[in-house]
Amino acid sequence: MNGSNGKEELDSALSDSLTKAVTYLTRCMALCHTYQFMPTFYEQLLESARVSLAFVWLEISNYASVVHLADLVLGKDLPEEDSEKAGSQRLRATVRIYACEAMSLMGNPQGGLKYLPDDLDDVLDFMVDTNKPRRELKEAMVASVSHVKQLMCTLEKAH
Amino acid sequence: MVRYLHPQSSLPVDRSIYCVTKESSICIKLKETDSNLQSYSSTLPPTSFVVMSAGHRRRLSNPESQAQYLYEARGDAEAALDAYNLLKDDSVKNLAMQHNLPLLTYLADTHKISEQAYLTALKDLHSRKNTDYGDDSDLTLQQLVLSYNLALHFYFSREFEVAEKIIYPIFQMIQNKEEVFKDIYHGDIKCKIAFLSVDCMLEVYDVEIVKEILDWVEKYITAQSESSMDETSAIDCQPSFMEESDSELKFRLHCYRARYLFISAERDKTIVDANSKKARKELKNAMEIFNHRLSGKKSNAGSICDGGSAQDSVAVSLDSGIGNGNGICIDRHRSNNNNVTVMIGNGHDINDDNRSPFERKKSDTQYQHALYLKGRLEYLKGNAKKSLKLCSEAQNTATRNPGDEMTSIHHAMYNSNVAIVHQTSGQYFLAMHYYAHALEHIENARKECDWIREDGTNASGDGTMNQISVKQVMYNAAICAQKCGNYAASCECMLRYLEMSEVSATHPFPWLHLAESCIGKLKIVSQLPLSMVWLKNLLTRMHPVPFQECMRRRNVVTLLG
Repeated sequence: MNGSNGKEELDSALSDSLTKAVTYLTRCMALCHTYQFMPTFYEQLLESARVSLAFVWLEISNYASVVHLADLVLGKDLPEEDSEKAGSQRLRATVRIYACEAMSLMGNPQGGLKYLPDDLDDVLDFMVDTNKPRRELKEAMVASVSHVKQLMCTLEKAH
Repeated sequence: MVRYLHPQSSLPVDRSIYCVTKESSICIKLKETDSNLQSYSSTLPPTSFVVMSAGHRRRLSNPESQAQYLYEARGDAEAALDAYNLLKDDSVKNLAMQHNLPLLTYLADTHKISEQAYLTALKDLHSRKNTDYGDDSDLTLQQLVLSYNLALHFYFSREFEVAEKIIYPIFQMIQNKEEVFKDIYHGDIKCKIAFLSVDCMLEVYDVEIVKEILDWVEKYITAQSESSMDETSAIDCQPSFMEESDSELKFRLHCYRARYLFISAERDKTIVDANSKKARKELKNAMEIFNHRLSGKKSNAGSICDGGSAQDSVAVSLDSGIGNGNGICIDRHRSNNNNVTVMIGNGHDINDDNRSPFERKKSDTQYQHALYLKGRLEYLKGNAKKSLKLCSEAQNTATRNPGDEMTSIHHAMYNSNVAIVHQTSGQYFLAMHYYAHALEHIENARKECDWIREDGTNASGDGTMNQISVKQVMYNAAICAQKCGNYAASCECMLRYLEMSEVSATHPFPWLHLAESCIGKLKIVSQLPLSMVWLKNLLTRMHPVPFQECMRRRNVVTLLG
């Protein structure tokens, strides 16, 4: 098996997974919207689906859609129940990062920074996931922010 | 390019195990119970098909009731069918015959190809009878049996809402017109209808009126026990062979109460402790009834009237020509003791330690059901170890009698329940192991019996219904596989679940789960070096993971007579 074939297969597998994910998420969101009075649980589902779809769009380089989805998620009020609130805050923190990256990649890192909160630790508090160590999350997030800042510098130099 | 963060489990709630149904209203309720043991299964036949007899379910010494006996007391649908076929010419227009023949043909058919014919006949008779009783007051036993059997059929097809729409109005009719029906003896069919209504409601988590129904059943049983004290009334109300005694009904009632309490506790976590205590009491009562009244070595027929002081003694002697429907003689007489003598063919007496296999099976099923419920109670309280122990004990029940063999269905149910306990304890890999075993046993069961449906439902010759909800196992396994990081298997299971169920067009959660699994798969694949492409291919290939299902057994009640 040579390298080029392997790369093609890898690209194909990635593209296949992403396409499927888009199809499934679109279906999920459409079903959530079929109810005139959406149950609370469906609102959580919809929020999750939007964040997941934002991730997929980011992978596919559909940045405008990422920002649109992030606006939709952040535009909703936080749930009242404490247990639901924590989960929602975690998702919102995640989608902020996606939006920030997407804005930067569209050439507007300044706009991207608006999505980030002032204190990164505040976001991290919401992003604590039992499956992942906090340090790993922090490193990934710092990498994302550094990437945005790097883009900003590049753009400034270019101008 | 930075590899973006993606929340692995994007939903804030723990969705580890829950059951998806079609209606949005149900989904709301399910959400609240999502981390509970939805598919924890047990084996008691809560209700069962009923054979119709002509007008009354009283035991009479006529050829028709003798044929009915073969089915109800011996669980031999084939012999009963032969006996009915001999009667066919005499009473071809008899409603009972029109119902019983297709039913017995279906049950006796080893390949179950006559199922559709039975369903058509049942629907036809039901609609005809429905037009007959415009006024509620003339609801007959036959109409009750037809409605019950039709609802039961839908229940086994897992169309719970359809079943509920058929059976609950009938129950309401009985409840509202209690005075009208007071003088008409309907046997235990009213309780069967009430229990089936409860079953349907519990399946769809519509528990608001369950308590009311169970209270009605309790009152009804008490009233029946009191009325059976009156000897005259007892003579008129000779139960059929398969009718359940007061003890059996009480046992069942306690089990239903426990199930209702479990589900209520799962919906509202704040009442877990209170409901656990109540459920423990209910199960204790159920076990007491079982140990003192139901587990005896005496024939089941003996316990038929144990609710009252007037006890029946039934002497049934059947000569060797019973299979042909010839020479059957059933003699009944009353006495003041509880002895029962059932002589079959060669003079074999089943009064002592020797219960018939059919009776033993029934008793074992009751015991197994109670044990699984106790296991569920322990699980609810967080005692996984105790729960596993009780599951194991319940499994061993299947082999406690000499000569009994553990069926694949028993194994499948045990493995599925154990997997659920492990899954909810966070031991996902162990849970996957048990799911795989459960699926293997279901596959074996299918190989043994080619008439087991894809969804796991089947009816055996003795009228027992086995229900193995393959869909639920698939669903649980999909969730479990995702937790294990086996995204390909998770996708496969969820896709198979969607294929088998009808929720794909209405419920968004399975789609979100699929998408998350795809993203998870993507993350794994993209992290692999190119030289490991073969491994990537392996991961992306769809592996049908053998997941299995739990089952529930039910006796087929029915013959119209």
